[in-house]
Amino acid sequence: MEPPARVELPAAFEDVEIDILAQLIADMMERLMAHNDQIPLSPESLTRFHSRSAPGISILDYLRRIVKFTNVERACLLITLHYIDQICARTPPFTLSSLTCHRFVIASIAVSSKALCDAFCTNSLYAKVGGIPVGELNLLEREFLRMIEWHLTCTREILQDYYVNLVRTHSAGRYIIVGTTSGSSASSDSEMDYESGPSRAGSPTPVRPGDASIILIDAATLAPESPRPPTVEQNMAFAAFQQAGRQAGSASPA
Amino acid sequence: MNYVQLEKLGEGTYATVYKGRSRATNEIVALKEIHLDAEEGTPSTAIREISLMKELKHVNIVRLYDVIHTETKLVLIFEYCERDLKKYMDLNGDRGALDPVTVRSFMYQLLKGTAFCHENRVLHRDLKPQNLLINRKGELKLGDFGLARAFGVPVNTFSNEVVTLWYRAPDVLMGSRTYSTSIDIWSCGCIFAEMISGVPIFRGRDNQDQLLHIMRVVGTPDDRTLRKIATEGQIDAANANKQYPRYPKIPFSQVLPKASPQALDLLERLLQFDPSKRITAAEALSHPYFTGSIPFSLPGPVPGSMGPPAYNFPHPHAHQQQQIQHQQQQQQAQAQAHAAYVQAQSGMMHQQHGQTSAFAAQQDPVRLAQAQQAQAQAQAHAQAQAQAQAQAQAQAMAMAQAQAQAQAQGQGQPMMGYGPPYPQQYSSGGR
Repeated sequence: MEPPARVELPAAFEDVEIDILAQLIADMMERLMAHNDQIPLSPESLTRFHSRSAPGISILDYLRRIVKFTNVERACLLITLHYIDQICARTPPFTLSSLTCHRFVIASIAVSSKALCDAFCTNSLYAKVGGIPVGELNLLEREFLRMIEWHLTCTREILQDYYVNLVRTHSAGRYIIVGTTSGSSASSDSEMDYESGPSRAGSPTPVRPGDASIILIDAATLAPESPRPPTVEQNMAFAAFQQAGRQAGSASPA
Repeated sequence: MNYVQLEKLGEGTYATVYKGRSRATNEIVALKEIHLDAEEGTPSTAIREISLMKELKHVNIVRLYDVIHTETKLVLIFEYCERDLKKYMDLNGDRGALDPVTVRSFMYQLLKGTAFCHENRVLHRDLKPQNLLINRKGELKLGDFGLARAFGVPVNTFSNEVVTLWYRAPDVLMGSRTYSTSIDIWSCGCIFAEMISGVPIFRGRDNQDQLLHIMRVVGTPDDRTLRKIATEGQIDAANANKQYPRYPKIPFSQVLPKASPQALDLLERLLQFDPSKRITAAEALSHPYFTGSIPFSLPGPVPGSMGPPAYNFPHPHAHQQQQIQHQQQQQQAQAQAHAAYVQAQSGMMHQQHGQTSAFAAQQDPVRLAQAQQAQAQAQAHAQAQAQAQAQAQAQAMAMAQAQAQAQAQGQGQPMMGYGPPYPQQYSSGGR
């Protein structure tokens, strides 16, 4: 499980093997889920992204499946973390938990691929790969766009920061980035400025699980919103959810 | 819905556009209605258009006010513009050709909007007259961002199936997938030429034919340039070693006999075959075509009538100050540097912004000696004293010039923004 030698990774996220990127992201998501699963579920925190029970596939295998069948770009994988931060900041009750992660990921990949890439798959394919009906994916997509208020672009520097952070906070501490110069400004204009990937200031101190994905929220675009009471829809869904919980054992799709 | 749907304005490939009115403010808007496919969800064109236009707030970019997203349709609420540039040219031009004052104003606004996109790391990728909207104030605005994309986030897949054929850059025609902002600059050049002459400058039937049309005017580049574009563009081996007929370059002055030397010089810099040699939008805005005045010795009735762009913009670009030096170097190299023009430029050095530099050119004694109307002169004096009122006066001056020109040339056509209101039976298609 734990080879003693550290694996060296390229400085720029564009150059890292996509499977390693999937591992890094899955590791981060697992930590987020472990933390957030301890928060008791309340009716008002229910969203369309909640499944009745945690899907039977690990998030790493789920990401690998997406990589294998949709040819997803590295930037689209990484930007999922940025979207999590954006949505959590905009819609406070939303958290990435073992109930929401899979559906959030497939919606995020579909949306980011359509927004950022010139080559992308159909929603039917994303739905098939994600293990949900296409109508459901369309709903998730709409909900996703509403929650993130259509703010889908980002910069290379932000993605690079996420990458550096993922490597630094990886739970097994197995990876190390070679050739990074720390302290360089994140506002570099050059797209080709790969070798000077900016790293977070300070030493790589271990980060508490819940803090792992806290950085980099674009505060300027946030609209403060008072917490809302649960909607009728949420209450009904919550009741159905609790009932499903009592009839435990039946595995539901992601 | 908070908007009343009025008449249909046009039908595009994936959307229908209606005129609309806000229930709250009575403001007239454009409603772009997109039908949602049950299988495909939200179209990527809509996702891009919304996510990019939400961030791009500029006078020369159509403003996206609101988005209504339901299960069956998506409605985008845009700022209303009366017509697109294509229609404007058909209706107001002389067989499509616009007068030099209007061309310069529109070109300035087009480059301003394009520069703003590029500063915000957005490529439009479909600039053409049909996608440039003109409102009744004579403001030009970039619209239809359905093919646009952000280039701040690096992704590998760049399509070369972008831009309407006649406005597509030669490197993209050759198959480049590593293009950047220069792709939009080429389109700007094509639009510039089209506004001057009234007809599209390169009208090919297909990809190859389009490339040949371009080469017949700008000349076939040398092998080294062709190879460089092929290798930098990661072009497939099949295309890389293609042989092209050797065409000599035709001077643009022959292609566009009506254009002024400064217009031709700017066009030359916009329509560079080699993308790395194309001028940037920011640089183009500081070109003498926009900042200088016209030499006396030009043939034809045009000289003296070139006013500043009739519209001033609240977002002066910081780069314009940096550009001044670069521009001066360019000027020294140019044989056509004229005394009056140099004087106008030196006046510019004392100004803060490119905006005010246009006034410096206006206040140039040589220009004033051309004696437009007495009223215009009086205003020019007042301008020097009261900077605060500068904006309104610029418009008044442009109007005076436009009128003078119309009288001189005996042209009855209405000038941009000052003519009679648009006919009511207007429909803005092509969106």
